[in-house]
Amino acid sequence: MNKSIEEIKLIDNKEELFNQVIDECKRSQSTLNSFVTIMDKYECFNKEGVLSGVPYSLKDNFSTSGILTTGSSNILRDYVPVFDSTVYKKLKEAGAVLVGKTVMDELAMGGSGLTGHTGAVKNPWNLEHIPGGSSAGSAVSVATGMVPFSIGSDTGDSVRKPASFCGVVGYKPTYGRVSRFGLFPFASSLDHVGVFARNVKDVAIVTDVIKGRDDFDMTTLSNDNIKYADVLDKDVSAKKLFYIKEIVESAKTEESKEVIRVFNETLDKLRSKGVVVQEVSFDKKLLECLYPIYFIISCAESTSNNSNLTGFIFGSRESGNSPEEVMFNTRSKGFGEMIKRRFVIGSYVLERENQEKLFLNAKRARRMIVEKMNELFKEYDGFVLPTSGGVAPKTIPNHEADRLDDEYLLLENHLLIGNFGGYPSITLPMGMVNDMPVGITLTCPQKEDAMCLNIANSIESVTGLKDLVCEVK
Amino acid sequence: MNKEYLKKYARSLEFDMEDSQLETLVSEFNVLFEQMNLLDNLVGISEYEPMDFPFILDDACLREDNVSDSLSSIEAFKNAKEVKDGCVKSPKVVA
Repeated sequence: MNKSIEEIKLIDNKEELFNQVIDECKRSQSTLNSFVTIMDKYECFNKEGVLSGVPYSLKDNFSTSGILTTGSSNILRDYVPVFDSTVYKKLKEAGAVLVGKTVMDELAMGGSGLTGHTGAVKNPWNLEHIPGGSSAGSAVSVATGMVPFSIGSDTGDSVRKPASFCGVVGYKPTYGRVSRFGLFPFASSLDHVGVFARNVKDVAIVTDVIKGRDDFDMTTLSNDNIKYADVLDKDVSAKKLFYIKEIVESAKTEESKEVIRVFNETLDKLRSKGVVVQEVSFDKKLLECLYPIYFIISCAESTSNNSNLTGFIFGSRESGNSPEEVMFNTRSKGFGEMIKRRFVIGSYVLERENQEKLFLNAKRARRMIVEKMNELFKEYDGFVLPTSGGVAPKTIPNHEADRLDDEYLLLENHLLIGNFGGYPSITLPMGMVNDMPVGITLTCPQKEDAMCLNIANSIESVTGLKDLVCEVK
Repeated sequence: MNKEYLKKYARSLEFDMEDSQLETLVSEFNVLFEQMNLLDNLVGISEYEPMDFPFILDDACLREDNVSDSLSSIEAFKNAKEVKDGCVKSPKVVA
């Protein structure tokens, strides 16, 4: 089912379509493992809505009343929320039809798609490669054409990286543009809701539905009263973009050099549309701090955010002879290895004696980067970079996934800038390398979501990779 | 950083870790300490205020209080492991 939202809206029998999609989701499970839960009932709550009858998938860290929501963790393997996240509620009100909850890296930590409690998700372009994470199942369900859009979350790159590895569009709006009420928190100062689709227009249509102020999330922004889907075709010829010299020059392998070649080709095509793209130099020492900053802040915030997973209030519970023993057994069996490592590191950096050197310094360095970016945004409308230094890596054993590395991989870590500053940031396919997709990421100033989608639409028009679909044989 | 210290630390967070997992964690800490020196060496870092959120919300305001019904007991019991006589049965706290 490779159809855009507008094409689906023209279909008369949406229930029949839903049943076809469900069959396809079930058929693909043994190969791709995209879903934790596949729905069995067609439920459209608004037949006149903007997304009436349009099927979609939702990452399994969004609360859905009466529907299993696990965060792909054993500790929540039987948790059924009693309330709806705001995003799910808005999609229901717009008539969209949920087909399934997607597999993710456990509790949204990690970037491989390998660590969910129901097993690894596969990349449809090559089953021996990872799909990227943490919103792995969401990216795959869109890439294979099962659904026209999916909702994910992005704390470091969890929408944009899997979008690149799976050949789809992945958009992370400005921090606060979309409510996070009912989204399992990972690192609250970095968490964003994001949208996957196969073209920029569908991303814009969905973002128009889910954005807006929410009384249940005090970090949400006032509505900007712009319908993004209506401004996609605005002239971009006066727009001025930059790319960061030190990041592009960090390509060392044959594959990453090929990625840079495709990137430069894309920039040339963009220039031919009148967009100005210039090279800018950025302090390399500061760029090398990107991942350590993210690692420290996200570990610290996640340790605190997940301290309610005790086995008492909700989620799975192991037996024990005392409350301490119940909690110890529940958490020991409930969390995967990578989660435990991150919690220990997070708790360590929050210790009173370590806070100044570790946690607070990471937050100071975050500000240094954001202030420098904001300074550049006074002159430029955004920056573009290859999303990654290569195609999706080959699968590794899940206990080896997401280990802290001593290599400073600038091409792999620059998406974090989007989360540090809460900037709107979008990834879209720019070409193929070794028969697999590679992406380009555009990041714009805070609150400039409309402009970001407008320029992205222009990039899409020059790549010719709109509505890319990968059919698994 | 050593395995014994980290095992004790994990236990204070109410979970156990296997030996091989602790070995990975020790090596991650070594990398982390090395990387923290990068941050220490950033010129002028001490002059910056720690950043808690991406930007200041200039229009944040508290919502009005609205009276509404809370969860029904049926809903509240949905995720309880054990229910007895209309109450959630919790693990024994006092010996």
